Amino acid sequence: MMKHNLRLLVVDDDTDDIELFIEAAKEIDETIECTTAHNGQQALELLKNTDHPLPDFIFLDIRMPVFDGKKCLLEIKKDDRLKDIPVIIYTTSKEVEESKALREMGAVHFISKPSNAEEIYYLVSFVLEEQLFESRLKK
Amino acid sequence: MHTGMSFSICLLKSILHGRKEQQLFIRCTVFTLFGSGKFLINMNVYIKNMVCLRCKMAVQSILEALDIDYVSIELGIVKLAGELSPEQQRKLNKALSHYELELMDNKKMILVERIKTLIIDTFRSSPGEMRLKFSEHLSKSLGYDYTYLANVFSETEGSTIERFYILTRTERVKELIVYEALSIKEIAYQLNFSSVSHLCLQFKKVTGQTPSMFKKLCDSQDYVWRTCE
Repeated sequence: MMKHNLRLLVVDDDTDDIELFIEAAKEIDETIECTTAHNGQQALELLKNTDHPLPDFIFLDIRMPVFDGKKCLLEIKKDDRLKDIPVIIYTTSKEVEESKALREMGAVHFISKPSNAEEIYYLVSFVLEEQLFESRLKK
Repeated sequence: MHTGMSFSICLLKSILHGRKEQQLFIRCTVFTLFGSGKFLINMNVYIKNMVCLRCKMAVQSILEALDIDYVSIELGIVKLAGELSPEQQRKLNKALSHYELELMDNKKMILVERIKTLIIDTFRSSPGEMRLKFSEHLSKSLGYDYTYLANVFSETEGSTIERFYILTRTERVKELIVYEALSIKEIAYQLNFSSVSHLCLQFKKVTGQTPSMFKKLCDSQDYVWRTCE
């Protein structure tokens, strides 16, 4: 079990989606701490700032202006300090080929954003459980 | 019992002509019986809405009543010992409909049913001993990328695999509380929850009550669990 509260970084340019995501995360466990960024650049700045604790998981949207999710994922995987943080791709895309390519780039999960808050709850809950399960297995 | 000979020749012909599937809803496996020179065909028939032992018993009694030979009956899949004539198919479908079961006639629906069966089976076996993430287990068992499976499920069902997974597990929690009288801690371990509090929060989110409230309610109302409804 983690000793601190679970920390998530949500990177998405759509503020409505971020709000739905945070709502779902709080329903899973109200102690979950969510930090948000609106593009890849902002996310990397947060991650590289050593004053901020690192998140346990990153939920990353792929299609964002300025600095997209793919570039951000590449930068995360290049950085020794960040590369082991599980990155979950969270996008409107349903492309199977794209999901395979992103997994090869190091994303641990690829999920298509559902259209309503309830489905988001189930999705985020399922994915977090999967990642926590995997962390337990590794230990 | 049908020997399956004529059907096997027909099937082989269709394969030779590039039509690998003779019928959408029946998958066939052809085995050569060495020495006999005959073909034995096992047909997998996929049945929708089979969720429990009672469903299996119902299917078994239907098959016996219709004099259809079978090799095995699992949740969602019946392996028949021979071919099924169109008349038998019609009778089988009619008999199944009395139990709100039905033969499946679409490849995607079959895949969705297999996903559901796998999820149900997972919580009925020992998920506490799982060594793979469920998404990987599903992907490996069915031979498709998880994203593809998730897309097919959403298109066909109008809701997600993740929702079905969590709702099915919640139903299993109820069963274990009522019938097995397990503690919440034991259930959390058995069903792969990350913690007891996670189980309680999710149970409350899905059912509107905590597991202990549910248990009290069951004790006070002489709750009868109906898995087949």
